[in-house]
Amino acid sequence: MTDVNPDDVDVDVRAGRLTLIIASTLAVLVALLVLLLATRANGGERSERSPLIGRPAPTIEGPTLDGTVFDLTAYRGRWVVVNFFWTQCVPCIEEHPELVAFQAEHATVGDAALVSVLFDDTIEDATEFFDTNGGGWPVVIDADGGVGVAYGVARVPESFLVTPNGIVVERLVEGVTAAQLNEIIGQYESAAA
Amino acid sequence: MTAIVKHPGFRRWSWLIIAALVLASLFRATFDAGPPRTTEEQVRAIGSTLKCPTCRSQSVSGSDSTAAKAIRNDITRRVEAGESADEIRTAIAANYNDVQLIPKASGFEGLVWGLPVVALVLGLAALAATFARWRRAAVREASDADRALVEQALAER
Repeated sequence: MTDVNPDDVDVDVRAGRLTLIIASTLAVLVALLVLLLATRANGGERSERSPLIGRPAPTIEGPTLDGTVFDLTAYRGRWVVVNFFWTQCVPCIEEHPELVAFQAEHATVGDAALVSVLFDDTIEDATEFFDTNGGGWPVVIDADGGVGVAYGVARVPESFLVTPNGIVVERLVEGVTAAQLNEIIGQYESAAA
Repeated sequence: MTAIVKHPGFRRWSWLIIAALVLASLFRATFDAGPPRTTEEQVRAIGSTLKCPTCRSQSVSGSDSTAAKAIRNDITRRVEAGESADEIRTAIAANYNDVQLIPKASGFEGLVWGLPVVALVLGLAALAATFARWRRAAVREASDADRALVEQALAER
């Protein structure tokens, strides 16, 4: 049997231990990186979250289908439903009668109003749509999509509920119903009372 | 045949020169913005750092969705108004959920930038330690006992 130099054994043990420590640390770092990337929000998700919630509603000021100029600030004192739509989108078409009902219910009382914003739609198509399906509320022409970007609209239909003092409190996706809107407004008014 | 005689420091210097060239290339690729760019190029560059809000794996620059087109219009308007790329990214990200493709440099998300660097340094350290161990093993000499053992084995053949 050969004599083994104890110094050599010490060096080997130390080097092995160092390699193990480094490899373990690397494994932990890689695991952290994977966890970090895996827990990032997915861009394809549809969510009702919005960075706008709790913030003043972005300005909406521009021409409407009937040739007037709409200004959101003129609606202070009323609840406002800001609805983004496209005449060719099925959920938008399905949602429309609910919006008509909501508008009819609140038109006489005047406590809530509705405004629609065109989302990549032509004036001709939108005019024909409203002539056919009804709806006497302002429809803003968002020619360059600036209003949609200000509200962070991803896909239509999307609606934002704005309080009488101009704060965004809800983002509603995939269509709304009149009952749903009334219930949400009722909840906020009860909480404020 | 002519033998090529290398200076003892030749190998070390060649490695240092290669490392310097790699670092210089990385620095240039990272920080050299190049000549002034057109509005269209700036819009494309900014749009490529923002995620299309309705797509799975496309940037604002790479998508033809309505939302992406609207964001490109907004970027164009802001570039023409003189806003910086960072200001534009921040303004748009303030309206949407998670549209930044470049992770933030601070907070928990900042780990994405730091972890690969730490992993690289540790990996290099591990390689250096392993090579050093191999080098020590290569120059290890046989002891008298080892020689005696070999002689004994040869004698017994």
